[in-house]
Amino acid sequence: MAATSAGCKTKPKNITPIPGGNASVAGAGGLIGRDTSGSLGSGGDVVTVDESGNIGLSGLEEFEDMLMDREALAAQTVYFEVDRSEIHPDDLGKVEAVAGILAQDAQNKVMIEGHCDERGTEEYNRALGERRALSVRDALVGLGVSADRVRTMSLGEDRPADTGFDDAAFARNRRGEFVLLKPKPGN
Amino acid sequence: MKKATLIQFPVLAGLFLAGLALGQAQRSIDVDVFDAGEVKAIPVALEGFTGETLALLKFDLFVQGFEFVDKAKAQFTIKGSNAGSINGAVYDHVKRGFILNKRYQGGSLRRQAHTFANNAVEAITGSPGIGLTKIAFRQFHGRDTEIHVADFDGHNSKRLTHDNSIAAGPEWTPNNDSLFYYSYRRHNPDIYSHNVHTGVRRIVARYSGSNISPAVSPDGRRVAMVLSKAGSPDIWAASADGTGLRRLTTTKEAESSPCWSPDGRWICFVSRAGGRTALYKIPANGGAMSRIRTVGAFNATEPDWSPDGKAIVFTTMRGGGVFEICIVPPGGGNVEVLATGEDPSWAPNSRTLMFTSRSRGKRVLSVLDVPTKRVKTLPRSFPGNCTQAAWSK
Repeated sequence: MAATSAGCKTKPKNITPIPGGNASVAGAGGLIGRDTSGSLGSGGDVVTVDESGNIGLSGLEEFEDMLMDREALAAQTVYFEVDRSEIHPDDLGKVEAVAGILAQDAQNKVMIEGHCDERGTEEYNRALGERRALSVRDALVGLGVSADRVRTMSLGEDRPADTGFDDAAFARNRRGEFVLLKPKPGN
Repeated sequence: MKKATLIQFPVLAGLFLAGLALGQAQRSIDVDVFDAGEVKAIPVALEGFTGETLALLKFDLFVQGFEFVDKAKAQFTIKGSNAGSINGAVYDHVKRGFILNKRYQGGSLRRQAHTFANNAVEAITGSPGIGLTKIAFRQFHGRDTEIHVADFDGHNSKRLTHDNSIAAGPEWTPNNDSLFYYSYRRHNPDIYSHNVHTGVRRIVARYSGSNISPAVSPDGRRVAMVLSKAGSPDIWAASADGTGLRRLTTTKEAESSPCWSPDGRWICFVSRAGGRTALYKIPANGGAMSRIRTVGAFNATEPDWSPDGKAIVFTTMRGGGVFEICIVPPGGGNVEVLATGEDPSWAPNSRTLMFTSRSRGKRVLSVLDVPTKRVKTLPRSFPGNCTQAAWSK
């Protein structure tokens, strides 16, 4: 998909203008706030970056009605150090593998789930899990995956992979999981 | 002469005792939470109450700075009966007279008893009681968690959400009509407002990524929250309906747990922007974020600004999963450690806190009276883990 013109009204530094940047999303319970941040867009390879280097997320509507395949990328789960969100160099090969699989079918997208061990407070962990998922997303984008094909979801400490209470269990819980998103047949 | 002396002596003694009483009353009215553990509990004797009412009164009074002693050592006697309805009186042993005497009717017996406890607290300390306040909290149902609402002592609990997913982070609006929280019911953590009387629920924020940790401004017109739509978990503010969205922080690091100053001018939150987890504040209308120093406590998270504006309570992560409740002046400075536990929430009296503690591997809600530094677990227990208590305003 090629980006058309239009652009954001506010233009922070390092920003590539994106069409349709001011998306609003209607939810079942009522109207949702309008995005005036100049982030996100639905264009192809266009990326919105703010002054801190954060890459804006695409609208949730881009990912609705897709099938979730938790098995396809299960082997690529990446793990994090205590209280850190940087990707471990040993895990870069997994991220490259995911980028390679996404390159095979332009229809597919990916969700990255960020998880934490239980040794942080609840809301802190939920934000940390999101930061971890976003770090993985940044790495995928760095490998050429279009930012609008990647969504993130933090589950904080709520979905441990291992319910044990020792360092080995905690290490298995500080993770980023990839879920392959495929278009529903017929769509 | 002898007669005059006899008359004068009781007068002098009376003045002395009155002065003492005044001093103590003032201390209890104007307690400083930074004197935590140094303020003595007010000794009272309880007479005439039985069973559930006695237990209720003891809990209400304990968490507001009272202790229970024999009548001979009591400064006040709180007496009455609970046969059918509540009769209650407070006798001041220093002034030698009743300072409260009331009969209660209507509502439940528990409600009458909470109201009497409030009247007794106010008669003795001059400060309104918290007996009729509510809490909202997160309760675990297996892997899922739902929002529950209850009286502040855990009784009359009602389940608010039936989302069969993760619902968390409840916060009250200032009029206590609605809760803001987030839920994964639509496969993404989205922020909702939910009227607890009508059941009407509205979406406040549903963007790609995290929409979590809502906090309503003291005037009820705005909401601060954590959104990651711009590519990092940042503090955002909006009108209470979610419109007029504005990004306040632009760091590469994760921000979390916003709360408001009682004057509505500042939002306090947690950030790793300085390289380690710490408290910051930022003008609610945007501007530069500045650090709130917590001397003696690293990894400060989950701040809550007291309604009187005098203290920020927070959780320090000591490492190894050990959490402690601490307070610091809003301008920053030395930290006072209050208790082991996490996620504290101020009662409207700015002296009592509710927080999460651990009891035999289970997470339960506990109440802390800050000036006397005494803790009681909620008298009512729940089947699942309970966390994230939010005290009504």
